[in-house]
Amino acid sequence: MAFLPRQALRPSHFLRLRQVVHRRVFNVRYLSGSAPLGNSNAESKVGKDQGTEATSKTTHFGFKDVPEYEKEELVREVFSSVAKSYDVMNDVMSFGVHRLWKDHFVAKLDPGRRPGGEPLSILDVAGGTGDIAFRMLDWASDIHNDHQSKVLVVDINDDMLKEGHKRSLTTRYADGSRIEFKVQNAEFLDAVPDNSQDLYTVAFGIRNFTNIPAALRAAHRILKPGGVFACLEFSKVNVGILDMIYQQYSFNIIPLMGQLVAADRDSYQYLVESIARFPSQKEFAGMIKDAGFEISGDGYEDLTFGVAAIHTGVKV
Amino acid sequence: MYLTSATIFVHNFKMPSTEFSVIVRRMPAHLSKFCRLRRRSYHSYDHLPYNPYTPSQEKMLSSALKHVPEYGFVKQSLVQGCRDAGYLDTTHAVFQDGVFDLVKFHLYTERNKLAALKPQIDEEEGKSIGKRIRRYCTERLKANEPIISKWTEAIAIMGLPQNIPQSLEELAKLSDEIWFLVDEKTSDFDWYTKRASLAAVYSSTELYMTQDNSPRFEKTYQFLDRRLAVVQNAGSSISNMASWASFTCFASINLLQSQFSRG
Repeated sequence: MAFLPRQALRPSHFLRLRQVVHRRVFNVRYLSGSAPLGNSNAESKVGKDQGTEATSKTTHFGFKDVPEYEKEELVREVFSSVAKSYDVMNDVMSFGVHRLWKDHFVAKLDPGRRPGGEPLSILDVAGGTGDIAFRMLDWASDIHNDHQSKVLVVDINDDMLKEGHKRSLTTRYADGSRIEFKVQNAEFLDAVPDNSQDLYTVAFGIRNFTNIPAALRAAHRILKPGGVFACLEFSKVNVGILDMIYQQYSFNIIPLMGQLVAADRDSYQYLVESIARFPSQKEFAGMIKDAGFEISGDGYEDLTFGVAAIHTGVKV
Repeated sequence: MYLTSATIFVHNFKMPSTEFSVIVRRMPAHLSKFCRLRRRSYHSYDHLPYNPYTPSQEKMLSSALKHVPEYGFVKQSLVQGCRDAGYLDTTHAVFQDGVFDLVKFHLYTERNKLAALKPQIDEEEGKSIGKRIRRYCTERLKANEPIISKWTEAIAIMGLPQNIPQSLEELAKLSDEIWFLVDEKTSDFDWYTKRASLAAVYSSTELYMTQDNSPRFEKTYQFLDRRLAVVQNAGSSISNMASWASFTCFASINLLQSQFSRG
């Protein structure tokens, strides 16, 4: 069935996302002939050449099933559309608690060069807007008087990185000597050499990865022996009644808030669906162990009754 | 609840569960098939030893403990320990409870060392339960001596609200370990009162030890003797009290029942 592009009176990002999802999920030809949307990495080109009738592996995009090579681009689209209002979105969704979570995450990792030690090399994955990166640099500078440790921020989405770079210009790291932004696919991390990083962090990004075990293996590769893998992510609420309330809030209120605040209901719908699809704390700790990391105790810490969780592992 | 990783004692002393299997074997055949008694494996020596620490974590934490006399129970000791073990300065972030993990490691390793002393203590102190308990307590307190100057920091860390459940569990495990190693075989409510009283004695003595400046901690061991004496006296008086109370209670109930049944 042909799908004719509508003349949009609504914000273009909203409509473009619907078109993209409709076209890709239902294998429909796009008559107007506009170019594929978003940036393309070499890896995703291979998948596209196979054409829409290829019977490749499928993965989940929220509650929909999509071919694997499509997911990367769909995720990129989601974050392109939310990049500018990312902080507002987070504040509205979590009532500002995400700031506490991120502060606790950085306090727990306690990055910073110690007396008699070397400056740290930190990799922040899917950290486009630089939330965690700036917090870590501030912590290292203020608490440990470390003005040499560096953070490399990578993300699959160039818009998010541009947003992060823009924000860095208003901080004390504007000269770019301590923070760097690069477009990378977390499953490969081509530009990062083996055994080179002290700390790998990913905050609220890993649930969007197409192939989480591959990303964990890539993390294992680039960390030095003794390097720490740390992941802050939404997880399963461990108290039954609170879980019911949380599910109601997630699926009923958050997409509505997205529509009101950012005029982008679909992206927020995807976000809450991706949270629901992410494995539980124990399962994810198992995946981290399978990738070759060693965990201590359970390997995770629940935040706010399990709404978010911090998983840590060490490469030995 | 006999949580110990000393499976070497499987062969060294009689397991209470063998009495069960003896009972089952001696039952008449037409009854034993209805009785599902078989040897239960709820004693820890029936299971493989469980070590919650991986070898690399043990290496990091034991080298961190060596730095405690200098820096105390702070992150710095943990970081130095990770460095000495050949890892990075960031590796301390893997410990979920931070410095409390270091305290727990000390408690865990020192508790597990008590089992190895059993043959020696049994030989030296004979059958006396009181004397053997005193020996185990003194050996455990001696293990605190290298870090006693910083032990108040550890007690403060253990007293934090998020750490209290685990600290109490460690104390209970220590008390349980000592009673288990003296082969006590109570199976009534005394099982709980014995462990509770020993936990109270041990924790108060440990607290006293942090303030003790006497040579070789003599005053601490005298304090321990006084506490154990009080418990032994109180133990018999409490059980006498319990016997009196239960007798009075049942006698009164029987009396009332006989009054009502008179009609």
